[in-house]
Amino acid sequence: MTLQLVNGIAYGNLLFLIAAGFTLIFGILRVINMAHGSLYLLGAHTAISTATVTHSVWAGIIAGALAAAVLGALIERTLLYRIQGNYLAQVIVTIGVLMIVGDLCQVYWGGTPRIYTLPESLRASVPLGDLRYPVDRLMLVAIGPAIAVALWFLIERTAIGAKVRAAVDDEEIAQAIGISVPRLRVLVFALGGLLAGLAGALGSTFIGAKAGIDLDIILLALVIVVIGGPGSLVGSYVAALVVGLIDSIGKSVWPEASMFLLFAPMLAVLIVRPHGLFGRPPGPATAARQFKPIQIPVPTWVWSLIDVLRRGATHISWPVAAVIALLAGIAVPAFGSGFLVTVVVLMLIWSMFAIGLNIMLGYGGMPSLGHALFFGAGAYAMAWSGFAGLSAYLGLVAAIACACGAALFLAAVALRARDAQLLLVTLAVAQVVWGLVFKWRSVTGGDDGLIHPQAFPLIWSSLSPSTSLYVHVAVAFALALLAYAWFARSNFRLLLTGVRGNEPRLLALGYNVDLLRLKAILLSSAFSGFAGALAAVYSGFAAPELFGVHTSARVLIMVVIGMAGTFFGPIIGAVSVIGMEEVVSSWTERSNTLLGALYIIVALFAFGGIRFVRRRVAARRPASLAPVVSP
Amino acid sequence: MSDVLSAASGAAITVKGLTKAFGSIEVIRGIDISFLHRERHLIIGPNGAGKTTFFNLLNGQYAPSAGRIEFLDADVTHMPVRQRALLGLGRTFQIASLFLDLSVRDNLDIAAGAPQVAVRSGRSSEETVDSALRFCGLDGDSAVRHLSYGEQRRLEIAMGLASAPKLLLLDEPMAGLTQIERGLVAERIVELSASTDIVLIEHDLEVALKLADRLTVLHLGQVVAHGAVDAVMNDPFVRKIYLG
Repeated sequence: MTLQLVNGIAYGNLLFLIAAGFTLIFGILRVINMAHGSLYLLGAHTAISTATVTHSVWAGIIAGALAAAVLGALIERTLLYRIQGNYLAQVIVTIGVLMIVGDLCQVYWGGTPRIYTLPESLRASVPLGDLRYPVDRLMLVAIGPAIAVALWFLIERTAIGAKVRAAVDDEEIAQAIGISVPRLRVLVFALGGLLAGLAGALGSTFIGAKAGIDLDIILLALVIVVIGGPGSLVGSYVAALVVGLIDSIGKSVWPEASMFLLFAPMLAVLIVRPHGLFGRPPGPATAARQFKPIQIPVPTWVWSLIDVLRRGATHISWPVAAVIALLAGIAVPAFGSGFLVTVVVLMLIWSMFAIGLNIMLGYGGMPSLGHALFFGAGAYAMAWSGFAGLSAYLGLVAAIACACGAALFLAAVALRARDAQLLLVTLAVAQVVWGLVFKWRSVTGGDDGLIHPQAFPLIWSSLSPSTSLYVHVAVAFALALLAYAWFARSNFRLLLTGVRGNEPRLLALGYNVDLLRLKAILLSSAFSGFAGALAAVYSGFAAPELFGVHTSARVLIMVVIGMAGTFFGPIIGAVSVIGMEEVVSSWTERSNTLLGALYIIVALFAFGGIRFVRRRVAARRPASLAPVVSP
Repeated sequence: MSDVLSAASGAAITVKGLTKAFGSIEVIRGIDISFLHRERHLIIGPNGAGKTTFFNLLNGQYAPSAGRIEFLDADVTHMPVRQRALLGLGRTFQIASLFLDLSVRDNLDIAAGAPQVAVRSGRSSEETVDSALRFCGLDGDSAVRHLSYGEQRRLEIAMGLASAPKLLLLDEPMAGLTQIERGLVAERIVELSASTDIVLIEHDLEVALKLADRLTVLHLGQVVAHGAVDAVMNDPFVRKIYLG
């Protein structure tokens, strides 16, 4: 038992080191720094390389921490400061960084896991009961509290800390009394990076550096931060210790449940105390951010073409529009290549998924970075229905039911969260489910996923399977579009826009806002789960990555690029993103880097979509004055 | 006569010992007061007297630190905002609190579609919206975001009307309006009071005193005077804090 206790405390301290930088940045700057995993990864890689070259462990630790600190400062100084206060755009940028750094680390250091072996001289151990315990892990027990105290001292007891607190409290006033807030932000980011790099360096002897570790680190940091209360360092420390101990002791007492041990405390805390053990309850929701499209001037002829199309679209009657859509739908398999049909199928599926998110984010103003949860739930439900011998049509129903179940689960913990907090909670829940799917091999197939036999029946025997799938997806899309149009014209949509714009007023009028939110989440999950089920049939495979943050980020970027809160926005977004991805992946192996760059560019410059406007030309002739009216 | 009337109709809202403290600062300090049916009540007081806080307590935005609130003889002290609204307690906001993304008609639709309205007003929500549109004299299709400040205030009151409350709390309905607009709003309030009990906070005494039946003066979180308008305005203490 002593061993488990010491192990748990050591693990807890490591967890604290992992989470400290993340919680610091979220608490002070309200930025959900998804690049935290990259900072850890970079720290670990740099530490291992430096220590190997210099034969000095200390040089490795310092180099790792500094490298991450520099990257952290760079992220803030070059990218994030441009979009201050826009937490949604910021999270997209950091996801872009996460993709790029992960990809480049793999290029530079290769894909094989690297673990640093301590030189013989440092491999000491101390007696612990009948066993011996390695000193390097025991060091963590000293380093964790030391860093916690140092951070507390820095923030609560120094002039810099006072300035930081002032800047958090009221940025404008802080600026007005001469505090350079941008410099402080860089400082906080550097500090957060330093901590992440330090954790990477210290963890390099047993966690090591490998592809994918960045996502695991974020998952751990999320669990700690959500339990402790976002932004609370004390909370993080307590949460890390508790989780470390539960994990270590639980594994020895009840090994079968080991995969739940990390996550069960988080879910319990979210249900009982949604703002975490030491967090403060969130204030009233801030006014929803307006998605303002950037305006790109285009030559007059392009603009008139767009204008004609737009006018045509508004004047066209429903039957005519339906016929045109039908003809276009037939034209794809009739004249297009097999590749085109596949791409269109993907576009349609992701359009439905994006419609789902648009209902929540665009109309309801509820940002979600956990939509992969519904998509994955739909896909796995479809796969399981295949194993159960059900038809694929029943599988679709099962998928919607499964996604709605997931939505109820999410709503139970996320209904009261708003804004950045909601983003954090949805992300945390989805990541936890992703972690479970990864580990629960007997049910989900683990990291292999499920290869399932589920498929739609052939419509005609002469039709090729891919065309038959295309027809099914196209019909499904048409049905989804009808449901979506019904929603967009409903009173419910009106009220949901009200929730986004002015929640207190709706409450004062007597509306049950929580119920409206719940309905929105459910409806959103139904669309997403439906899309997920079709995706599973499309690929014949349900992979744990469907639950991952990349899936959530991808659909988020679609909604953002197509202008959230507009009817056709998600469809335009899905079509453009899938199109771009197809183009990019045909160019290069390193498509993740290019996609990451795309995320960053969209979040920095095209957040809220793109709108084409007529190019304004300065008048060359002076305008004639109105003629004088003589009496 | 007026005593008989008020005894028959009773109190719309009664508070006893109402207190609200933020940390160690008591903003509302033991208010005891009743607002009677069929009377237009005006609350005045210098800045920081606690007027809006008092409204926030009445409508449930804030939970009181102590005391009791009764609305239509039901204890609503610990009832959430939404349930008070369902009982028929409506309010407008000092800073116009509209749905800026929507049109005027959509705003009124939301107000008139509120769960309690159809039951209480006995009218279809379309009728309610149409009459509210006439009331504020705005074009239903115009975007609220592009309305002038005065028009937004008018819509604010029309929404209060469309939600068909039994008691409407009006928080500075005339603030920031021109003289002409104030006159218009005052007329509307008189019109409204035929069907709804009204309590309003207002700074512009010239207009407000004309339409008030009863006057309450708040000062540093306490009621310093309450009663018929003339009597209160002649109170020496009120004259002191208002006229220096």
